[in-house]
Amino acid sequence: MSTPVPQAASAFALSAVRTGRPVVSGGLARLVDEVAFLNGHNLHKAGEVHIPTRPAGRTVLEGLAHRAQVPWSRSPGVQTVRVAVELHTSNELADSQTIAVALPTGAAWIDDGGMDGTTALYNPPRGRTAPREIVGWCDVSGCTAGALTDVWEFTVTPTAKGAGLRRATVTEVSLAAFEVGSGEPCLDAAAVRSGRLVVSAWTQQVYACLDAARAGYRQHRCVSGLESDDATGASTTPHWSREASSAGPLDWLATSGATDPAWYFAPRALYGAATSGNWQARVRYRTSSGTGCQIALAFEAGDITSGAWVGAGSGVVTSSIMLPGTSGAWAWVDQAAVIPVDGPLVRVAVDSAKGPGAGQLLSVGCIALIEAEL
Amino acid sequence: MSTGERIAAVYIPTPPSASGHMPDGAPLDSGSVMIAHSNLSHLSERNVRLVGHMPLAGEITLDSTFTVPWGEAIDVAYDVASDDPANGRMGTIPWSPGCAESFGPLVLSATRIGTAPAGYYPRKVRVVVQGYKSSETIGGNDTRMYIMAALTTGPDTPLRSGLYVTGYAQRTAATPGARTFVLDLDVAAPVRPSASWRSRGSGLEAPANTTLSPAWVWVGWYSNTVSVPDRVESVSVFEVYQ
Repeated sequence: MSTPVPQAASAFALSAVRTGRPVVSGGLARLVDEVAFLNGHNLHKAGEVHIPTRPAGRTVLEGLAHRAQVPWSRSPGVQTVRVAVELHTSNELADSQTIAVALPTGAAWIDDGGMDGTTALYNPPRGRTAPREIVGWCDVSGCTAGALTDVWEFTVTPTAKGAGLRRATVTEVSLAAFEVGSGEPCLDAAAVRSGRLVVSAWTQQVYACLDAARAGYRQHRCVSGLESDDATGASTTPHWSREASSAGPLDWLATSGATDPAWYFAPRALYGAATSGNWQARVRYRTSSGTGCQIALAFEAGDITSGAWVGAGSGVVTSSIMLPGTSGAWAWVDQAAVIPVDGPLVRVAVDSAKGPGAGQLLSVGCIALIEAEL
Repeated sequence: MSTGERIAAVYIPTPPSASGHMPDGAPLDSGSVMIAHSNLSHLSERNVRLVGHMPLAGEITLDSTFTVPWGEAIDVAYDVASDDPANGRMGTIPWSPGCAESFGPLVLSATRIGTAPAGYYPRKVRVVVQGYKSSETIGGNDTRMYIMAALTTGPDTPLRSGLYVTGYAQRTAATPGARTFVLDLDVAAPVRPSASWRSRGSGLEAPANTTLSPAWVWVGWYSNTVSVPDRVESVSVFEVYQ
């Protein structure tokens, strides 16, 4: 038996279930539909990796072995994920690379699309504007739903002329139907046909499905770029970085004069404006020495009015994350973060970073936030 | 707006499902059912997806967004008749790397009801670009900066893909300075599934494929500055429930 998954939320008036009204199967069927929409169709869109070509004077992407990370938390209902990458253009002969994807624990390829670590993937010709997505499909039914440490790691091994990865993206695939009785977060549609008895197990499952849609659904906000073994200094590194041990901005590889970037998103604000959201901050970084570093993220709720950010009453909340020295190895550090929601939007920025000091470098590959509703 | 009525615009906490809240024989009271309906409606509205976020490179000029990109393009040519972003004709730029980025796909989810035409409409997708307009004038004319966005039916550029909807914002040298551009991509019509994706492993009773409505978000920029560049500094793409 299976329960269909609609692709739209369903309308409903509460007057249909007020005291004294007869219980009809339609009201219960709406519960089935809405649960199926939430847990089977409206699934996670994980963050994305974008790796533009490096500015002049920096280590170039061409021929540089590199990696990219997409943190991800499986939603309770999803079975399959669509993984896609795009490559930079190039006119060089023998411009190819292999791409290997390290899958989260429990995931298995249905079709790797050539992202197997051995297939030579050639760069599209320079000047071609049509993107060429290389797409794979992955069975994630064996992954742990709600885990906060899963990640998709793309390892790119180019030839001397391989131009490298331009973009990587991960999307959970909506379902056509749920398998009833297999532990999937759904309600049995057949159980609420007219004339059937509704049993307690079914009503208990309503609350389990509500929780799956509330706490199992996690927003993914991710700024992810390049990581490599390149160990050049602050002026030529291809990574986002900071050298000085004093608190200051990250070098985002932008042109001089550019304001540090900030990003925006719409928070869920499930419990009203006064109850902040629980998130997990994840930072992928490397320090060239054993000296610990630090990065501080700034969150503020508010809205954009006439082209300018207007903060809400709760003000800026800063979350400082200590980055232990890694002596040249890339590592993750995770820390809980509380984000205010007393505005329709949230603004996220890197407030400041502290590097290891002169001649050494803090490199950053990914700054992600994944909702961690309890 | 939620399509389903809510008791209040908040999620009302409920007992854990394993707590024996409704044992056999207990009445399924209207209050509990109302709370369940209200919570589901609230979640359908609020479970918006964040599509993509990235820093951008900074300076942009006519050379970097028009002259060089069109000069390099080998599979598309500039057509002045298609250069009218204010009216949805997105041919100002070739949408190549350096003057555009794409995000997605995301699977469109209908959570709004519309009447003209009647049906369920997908959530709006919002594009926010942090930028800066310079004060450069050329020959006494203000320079211009465009931010453009499009929601497409396929991964190809807005010049070749089907378009669900486009968006556009302009800033001139008459109003220089930092600007946070907001473009809402509002598909104000029902959409039909346009692709079939693998949604399960094999060997199960439920279908292994799903027909659905994937969409890609394209964000592009144009500047006709020459000596004092405009800047684009970050882009954020996400669904909104307002």
